[in-house]
Amino acid sequence: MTTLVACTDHGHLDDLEIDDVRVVGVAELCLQPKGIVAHVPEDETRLIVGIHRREASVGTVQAVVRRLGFDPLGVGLIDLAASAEASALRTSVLATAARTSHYPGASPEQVKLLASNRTTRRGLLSLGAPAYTGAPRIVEDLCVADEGCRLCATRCPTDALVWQGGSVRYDPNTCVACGICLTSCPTGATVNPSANPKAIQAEIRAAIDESPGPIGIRYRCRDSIIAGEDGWHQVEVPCTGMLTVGWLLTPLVMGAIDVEAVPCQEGGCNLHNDEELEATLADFDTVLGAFGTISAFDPDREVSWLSERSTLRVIEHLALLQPDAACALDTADVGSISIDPSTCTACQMCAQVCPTGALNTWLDSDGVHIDFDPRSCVACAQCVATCPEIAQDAISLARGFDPADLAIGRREVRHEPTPLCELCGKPVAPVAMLNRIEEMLGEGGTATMALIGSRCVDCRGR
Amino acid sequence: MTIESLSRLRQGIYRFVGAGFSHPTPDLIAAAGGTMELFDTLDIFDYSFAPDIADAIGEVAQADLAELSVAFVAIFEAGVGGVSCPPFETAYVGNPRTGDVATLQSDLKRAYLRFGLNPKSVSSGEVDHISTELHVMARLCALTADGDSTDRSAGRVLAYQSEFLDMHLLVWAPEFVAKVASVDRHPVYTSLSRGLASFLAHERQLVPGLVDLSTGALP
Repeated sequence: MTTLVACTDHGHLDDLEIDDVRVVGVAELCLQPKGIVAHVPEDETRLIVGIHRREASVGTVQAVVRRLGFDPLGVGLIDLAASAEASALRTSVLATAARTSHYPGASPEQVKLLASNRTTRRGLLSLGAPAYTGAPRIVEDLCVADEGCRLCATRCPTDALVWQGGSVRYDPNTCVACGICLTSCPTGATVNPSANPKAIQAEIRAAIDESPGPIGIRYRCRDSIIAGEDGWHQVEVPCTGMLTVGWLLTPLVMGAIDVEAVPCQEGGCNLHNDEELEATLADFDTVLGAFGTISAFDPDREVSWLSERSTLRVIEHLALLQPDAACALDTADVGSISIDPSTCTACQMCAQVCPTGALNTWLDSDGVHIDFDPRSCVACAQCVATCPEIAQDAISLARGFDPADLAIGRREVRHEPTPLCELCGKPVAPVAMLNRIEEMLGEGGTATMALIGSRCVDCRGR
Repeated sequence: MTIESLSRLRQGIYRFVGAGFSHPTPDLIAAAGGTMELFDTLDIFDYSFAPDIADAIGEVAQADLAELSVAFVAIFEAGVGGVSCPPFETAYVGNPRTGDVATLQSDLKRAYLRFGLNPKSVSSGEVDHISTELHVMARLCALTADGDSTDRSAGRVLAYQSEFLDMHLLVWAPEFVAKVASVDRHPVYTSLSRGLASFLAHERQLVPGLVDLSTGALP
């Protein structure tokens, strides 16, 4: 059973009847959040609080529910001003209940103390109850930073994540809990209890299923307060700068009629992620243009659309329905690489740093092989940045997708024969690499090349 | 809630947890009974660490002194092949072969004196014992609570707190409490270690913000 305790000064609680939800209206709850205490049964496991966000202090509400034994981050908070009518409030309650039922819990390190925008020196004399949100944690077993991946650190807007010596270090004090690291991680190693993809997908699913009519999904930032509008359900994310094209496409694939993303406040984003959002929205429009209309495609309802590599997952499914919808994108996390065999030395560095295994390499008696699968590429461009022949454009990345390309899947993009060692028979080095070394050594390196080209590393000293 | 009451709350938590990691005494168990009531008047539930601290206080209040003493020795003072959870900073950050232990203990003594604290008056234990370091933080919180929150000295004391956390407690205490929790030998020490982990994770975020407030880095 879930209990909804809501302020009667703003809500439409009179007509509200929801199965499995006990609805309690409390007058002036926004001003006196302690009123929650008297209305929650002792054995209640799930709680939703309905308040007017402009009037109530989130920190005080969190303090009250904490005293009741609830984890505040696992308690649903509904902004009553965002639900224009009773039917919208009902949808909102059910969607919030679905989200809270997927709350994963938070360790002490995952609880982020939010700095108040209103903190001043006068705050020394009177401090309000602080508000908290979820902070990121890196699951070491899933993180591939030791293989060179540093996508979270590269995209972190405050340098709270720093890649150093094969691991990512996190500074909770500079982190603003914007969630960008979560959607930029290609392996799902970054988790945040306040932006759990499963929980958010469950909220979207419930909003679509429970709405009396067609509904659009409006993503909004944690800090933004937006008036409700008929036919729209607001989904809170830490910051809309974290959204990817996949996150924007997902509601459409699940059956929503429209999607929007609103920054933190009028005129800009509190966390200065406006440019991230603008670039993503531009790519989203391009994808919509390529596919025309997007109809619901969620037959088994078991696909985790919002988990890691969300854009790839959604586009791959859409491409099956519309094989001619190719398009180029500017910043999206989907793309394809090409290798120029005339400048590539087949050193395989690109495959070694690829965080998703989209680039893969192996060696056989035929030489060095590099293959590529666009269905795994997150367009991180680490292969390009790492390539020693970057000046020669040996490898290049094209953001975007081509359904025909995706349909082919993994294919060989580079093959280079490798001479065998005259002493032990092991591979020496790719011919292209030997040619490059010879070119660099010039005429004076003939003797050296004779040795390097005919013997493997182990046998050169013999 | 004012910075004074917040400092009192923090002082109380440091003192309680510090006492919890000292040799158990009848006073500790007796005092635990009223501790939560006191913390409640200081609005402890405004803060994320409240449930974990409340659990720890509850466990201590119900503890049997004899059992607790046995567990204390087993976890912190004796063990086959060495103490399972040594409660000393130098056991986590120093290398005894290179003289790090002496250097670190000397650094700690110097830091206590710089903060205006006599190491012997803070705690009867070793300077790098978890209990001593927690009591040092308690004393620094008391100085903040007693002082005029708008004058410069308040900012200096908060800066000391931040420095001591960064240079000492936060460097090794998380590893220490994780070890105690994993041993899970007695509910008091398991809950105390969870409480301390939760409290320190919060301190890591709170204290730099308080320093900014007091030094005028904020408007």
